[in-house]
Amino acid sequence: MTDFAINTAPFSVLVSSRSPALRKALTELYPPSLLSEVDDSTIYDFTLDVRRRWAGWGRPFHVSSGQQHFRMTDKAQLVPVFEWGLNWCIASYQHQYLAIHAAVLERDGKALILPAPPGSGKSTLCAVLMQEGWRLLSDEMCLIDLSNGVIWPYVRPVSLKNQSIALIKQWYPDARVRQVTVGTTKGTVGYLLPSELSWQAYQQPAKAAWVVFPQYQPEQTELMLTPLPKADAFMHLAYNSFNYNVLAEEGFTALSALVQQCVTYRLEYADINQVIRELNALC
Amino acid sequence: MVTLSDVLSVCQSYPQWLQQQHETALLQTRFNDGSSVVFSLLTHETSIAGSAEVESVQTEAKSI
Repeated sequence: MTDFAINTAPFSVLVSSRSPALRKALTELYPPSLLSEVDDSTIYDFTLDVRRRWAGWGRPFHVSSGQQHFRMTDKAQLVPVFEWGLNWCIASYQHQYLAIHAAVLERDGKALILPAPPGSGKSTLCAVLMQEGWRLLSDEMCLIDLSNGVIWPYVRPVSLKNQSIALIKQWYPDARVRQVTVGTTKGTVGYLLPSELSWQAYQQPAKAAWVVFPQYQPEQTELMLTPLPKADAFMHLAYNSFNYNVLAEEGFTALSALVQQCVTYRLEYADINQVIRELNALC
Repeated sequence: MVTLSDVLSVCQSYPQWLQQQHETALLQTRFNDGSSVVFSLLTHETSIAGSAEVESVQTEAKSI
């Protein structure tokens, strides 16, 4: 057994695994200080099991939490399935925060929220902004504190898919993309390491200032940043939330306060340089 | 003894009673751009207030 812990604030996760390969792979993605031995005196927020259920090296790994099965995978896809499993675990079981499926970045103490469905270019845009000096809070999950409305970081490697991997490497030759895996259910997946700034401030919350709904439109010649009525923004955010339904009145109150304090836009773009200029100008 | 007229009386007053319950079971947020959303404490449904069309978020679990 090679159990270990990942202490990616605000959650600590115990990973129960018989695969030394998984921990070794994760050392490429996370700072050594966040990967540790299991401490018997620590109460972990989640346990993620990654193990072969039957003997034999050719058997698939089962990723699960408690009695809930997430997915099976072979060794070649262990890293992306583990990362998705971690997302699934937190999206399903944590209700301490109002969680929205969105990327979050910060500059000058103000947070930019980018909620978007898969295929909208959210992760690519998030990666670009981080490379341009914005601090990454998360490329996947916006965690809103129910007591005071601040957004807590959940810093993890940025998941890039397919053409995005080559584009980021082309635009930013110094970008560190690791653990590229081909043939997953989402195509080729690779992980862009968070910037030093992002890791240094990985426990520092930010106040929401903008909500921008991005949509990559390849045929578009000019970028369009259109003000969005706040009620519309609220509905889209609620729809993109993992636990708005669970939190009910508390979720409605927290989301209302967040939308009230933000400026809300719809962003349609084709040229990434136009996006960088426009979003930098918000600050 | 409950009479038919008692039953009819209750039935006739029901819509008004229901309406009053709904009025007290709604939370509304009016944003600073003038738009507004409403949350029902009874059904946990969220809607854009004053919208001619029904636009709502049903309480459905979402996962990734």
